[in-house]
Amino acid sequence: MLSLPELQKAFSAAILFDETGTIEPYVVHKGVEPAGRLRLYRNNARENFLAALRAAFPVLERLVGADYFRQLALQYMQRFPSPSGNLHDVGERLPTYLQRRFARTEYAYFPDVARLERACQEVLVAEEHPPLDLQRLAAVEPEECGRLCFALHPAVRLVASAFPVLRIWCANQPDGDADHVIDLRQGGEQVLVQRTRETVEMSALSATDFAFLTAIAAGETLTTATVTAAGRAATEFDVGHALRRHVSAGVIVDFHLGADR
Amino acid sequence: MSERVTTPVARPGPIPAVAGIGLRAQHHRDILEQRPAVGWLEAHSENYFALGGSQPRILEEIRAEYPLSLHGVGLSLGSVDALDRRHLENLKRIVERFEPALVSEHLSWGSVSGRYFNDLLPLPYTVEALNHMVERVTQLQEFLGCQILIENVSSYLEFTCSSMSEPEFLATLAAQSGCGLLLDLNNIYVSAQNHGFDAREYIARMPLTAVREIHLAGHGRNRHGDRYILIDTHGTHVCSDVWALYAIAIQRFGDVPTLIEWDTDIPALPVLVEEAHKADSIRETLHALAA
Repeated sequence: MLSLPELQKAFSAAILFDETGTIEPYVVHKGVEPAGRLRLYRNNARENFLAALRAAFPVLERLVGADYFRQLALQYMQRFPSPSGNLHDVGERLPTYLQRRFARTEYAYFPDVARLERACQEVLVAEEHPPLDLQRLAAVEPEECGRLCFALHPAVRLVASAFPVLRIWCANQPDGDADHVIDLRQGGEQVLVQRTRETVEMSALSATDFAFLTAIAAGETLTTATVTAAGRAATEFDVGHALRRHVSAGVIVDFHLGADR
Repeated sequence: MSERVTTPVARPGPIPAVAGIGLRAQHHRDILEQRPAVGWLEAHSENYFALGGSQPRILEEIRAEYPLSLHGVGLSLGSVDALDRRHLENLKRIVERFEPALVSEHLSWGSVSGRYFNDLLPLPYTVEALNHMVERVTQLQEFLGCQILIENVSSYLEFTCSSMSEPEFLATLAAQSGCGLLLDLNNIYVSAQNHGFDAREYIARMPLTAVREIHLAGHGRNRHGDRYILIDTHGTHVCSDVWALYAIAIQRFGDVPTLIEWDTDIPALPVLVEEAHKADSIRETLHALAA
């Protein structure tokens, strides 16, 4: 007789890896082979996993086709089974998995598309945050402004790719032009993913803006973030203008004063 | 915030003993615009774990209009894995935020060593599994500060090592943990057909006072050689045999909050509302006959 831990372990081997040998003798036959009964559970687990992944990565599925997506999903499931009882988490490690698989192939943009889609899924459930308190900011002494550490809205993600990943995403929307040819060598894109009240919006960022916001997201001071961004700027970087834009767009929502360097 | 209690008791703010429907995202807008005449709504807990965004905001609006029950599908109470702390905390957060009148989970397991199957897998009905479930249900009730209901699941296999029946297991679990029971009549029917037991006898063996909620749903079937296995799809109308079990259950337990569940091939809202009204009219007919 199997103990409860042994039974669950043996059952999971049947579901994940089709290894039914250990559990079969403990399953009642009654007219239907135990292997057939176990297969029902294996298929359920697969279909649930696949459905959650399809819902979260529709552009990737459209790019690779439904059959290959299914194959990819089941291989991913064996490598990275669902990490929680919440189906939202199923795709958490898909970008990493695709990165390992496709990094040095002609499909190297797959992981970036997956990162963009995962970012959309993440911002949809992220915390709310009120806009930046401008009066509080105005009260900061001018000589302390360099030490300002801003914070991005929790429902904001920054995704950079060596490929035109936003153009790929747009062309592969249900109403997008699927026949539109995108030259993968036309250069990378940096994308701001942001939840608005009703939906998720994506916009392309300049290399300068992306460097600036990435430094801020990493907790850098305004001085460091400005130097980082200026290094990427073709012309002079106007930090005041950049701040105003990101604050009014609800991308920058908070600040504290960092330590002196 | 909800009032914290130290011993597991039912939350105030009752679910009326009439029919309600499962709340699904595609009906959010219709429910707010049409305000269908159903007694209450039941949401899947995990669908509202979001910290922000539109889903919890919409549930907030709906909650202002309808009594609410939160029904979990992912806690995996029966697994020998430790309970997922993050999942528990998410659940507690939404219980405090939405103040549901009922909170329920399943008599099942779904993970091994942190790998989840996102399915409701059957337990062996052994003393070891019973003790394990009593401990987990007690832990959950203490953590949430309220009584929870445990639901029977459909199963496609039985274990040779089971030493008691499912009704016996559930009745003892309720007696020892103080949990209530959520009787899914479709699941009883599906398992009865699959394993060859009598669904009416199952209902007759359920403790009278522990049953706090009933689920009704539809199922599919899957051919295996010359046999069929019924599959719990929640994807169609409640079948006539299950409606007959409903009449038997109401006669035994009295009026109990009853939920129409529909999770796959989800139809337009009026179809669910009509199914709920059918449940209400069955109960009214039984009362008229008894009067």
